[in-house]
Amino acid sequence: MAQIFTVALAQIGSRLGNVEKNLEKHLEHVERARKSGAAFVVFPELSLTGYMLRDLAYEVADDCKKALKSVATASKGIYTILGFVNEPRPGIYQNAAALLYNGKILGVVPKYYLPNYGPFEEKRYFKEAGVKDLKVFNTKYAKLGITICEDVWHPEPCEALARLGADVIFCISSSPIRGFYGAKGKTVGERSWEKILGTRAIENTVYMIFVNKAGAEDEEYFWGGSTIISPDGVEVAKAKHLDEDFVIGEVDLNRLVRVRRFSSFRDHHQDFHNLLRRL
Amino acid sequence: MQLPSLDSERVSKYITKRLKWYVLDYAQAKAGALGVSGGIDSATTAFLAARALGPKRLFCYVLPGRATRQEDIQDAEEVIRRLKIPKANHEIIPITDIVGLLKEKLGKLSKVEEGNLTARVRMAILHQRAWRERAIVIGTGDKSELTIGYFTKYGDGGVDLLPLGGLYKTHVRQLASYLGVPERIIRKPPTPALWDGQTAEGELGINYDTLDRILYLRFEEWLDPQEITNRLGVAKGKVDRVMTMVKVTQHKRLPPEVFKIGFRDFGSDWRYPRQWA
Repeated sequence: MAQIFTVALAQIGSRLGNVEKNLEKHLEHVERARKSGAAFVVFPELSLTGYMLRDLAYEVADDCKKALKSVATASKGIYTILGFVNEPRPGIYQNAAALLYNGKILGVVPKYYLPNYGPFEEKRYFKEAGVKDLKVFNTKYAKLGITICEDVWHPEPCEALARLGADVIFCISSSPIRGFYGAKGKTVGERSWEKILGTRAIENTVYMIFVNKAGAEDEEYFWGGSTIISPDGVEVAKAKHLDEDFVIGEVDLNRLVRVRRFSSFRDHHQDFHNLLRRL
Repeated sequence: MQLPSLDSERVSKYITKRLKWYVLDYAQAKAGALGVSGGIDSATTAFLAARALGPKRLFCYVLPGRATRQEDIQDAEEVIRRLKIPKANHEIIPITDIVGLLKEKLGKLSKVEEGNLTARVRMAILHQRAWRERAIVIGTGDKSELTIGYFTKYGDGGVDLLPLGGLYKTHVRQLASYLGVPERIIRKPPTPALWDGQTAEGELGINYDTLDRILYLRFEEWLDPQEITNRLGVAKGKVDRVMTMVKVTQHKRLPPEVFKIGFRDFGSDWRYPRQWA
């Protein structure tokens, strides 16, 4: 396994429901990342379809299936992670991520926690994932796990992935602006995300790679700010705020060793989990 | 208790970015069109729109009516001058005669009826000019006025886009200062100028500073009216009156109601996004 590799953060905006148009943008970015020698190129949550789909969520799965094949074919020698609407059974839909490589779909990971508050209404459309869906992918570069947006606002998915062996956890996201107040101009959402990503990285001693959408979808606006956080909570790459961007950041797995030698990451009291299960 | 502060630089960049994208990319329009009244909301909107689109892609119309004061026309012209809107892109269209013709045909109108008619004449002219220029109509209403329904349905409410719709009047004042809107416009009392002597705060019976804090606490902090009364030290009756204004004007903020008949109907379970492919 390579100890040092690069990841391309493809911080794009999507056209709602227009998979064909979004596919074009994916193919451009995959090619750009490939040419730059990146090991991974990562797109935001529901990148092939847009996020604020509402009832279009029922109507894009077939187009996504075709688009996945095209992106997989384009992913020659590079791992691509993107977001799409999956239809595992007729009429059942999932907000999902796919890992693609050398023409193949290596895996599909649905979202565990579906937000259903404020502007979010994912439970109306999607079936949530369960622990049976937890997967750690053994790639050429790293053992990795994939989460989707709200999954990271709960400690369990990242903790489970780390305990299953993931050293790098990707979080693809569609986080919209909310509470654009305050003298320093960061929204409430951004401030929370910074804290949560840092926490997940430190508590699990993993690299957290966050790719958010940038751009408008109906009234909402996704604020971008994609980032790579090292296992000691240091921001090692950062994409623009509000704008689409393409940033390449470095992941150095040697850092895991140093950080884990000075961490209680390996300690795990099952009793807490037994108690939580009963509550 | 004060409203949360606003980072004017970042918020203006954000609105500018969205305006540009909406008009030129999403709507595929060639320009934006707006009515400039000489008041703070239209001046601030014009400043933002000029930043977003450039002065050549902005059409500004001054539409003075019977109750429009000369100083407001001058202020509107000053906004246009400062933004360097090209001569071909701005126009003064007096509407007193147009409204007068309608009044002749419609018989005696009450003050409010004439005011609403005036606002709707302005709306009709803006859309006509916008259509000619392949532009979309940029509205100027702010969050305070939208929330209490202080606008004319299908009048100043009849627009394609409301870039200030997320900002309370208090925040609009901050943003206006940051953008360089003339101080005189920022300081003068807001008015729809639909009849002589009309001022917004006089008509509403509350100043914007208090109104904005009530609205913020009720709808963004989710406090109940009694708690708001306690925190702000204003009369409970005043808070209740604001709540009534919000409730009875809900119809102005929503598309018309459709009676459900089919399996999927508008306003019910026809839930497609606004931006549909």
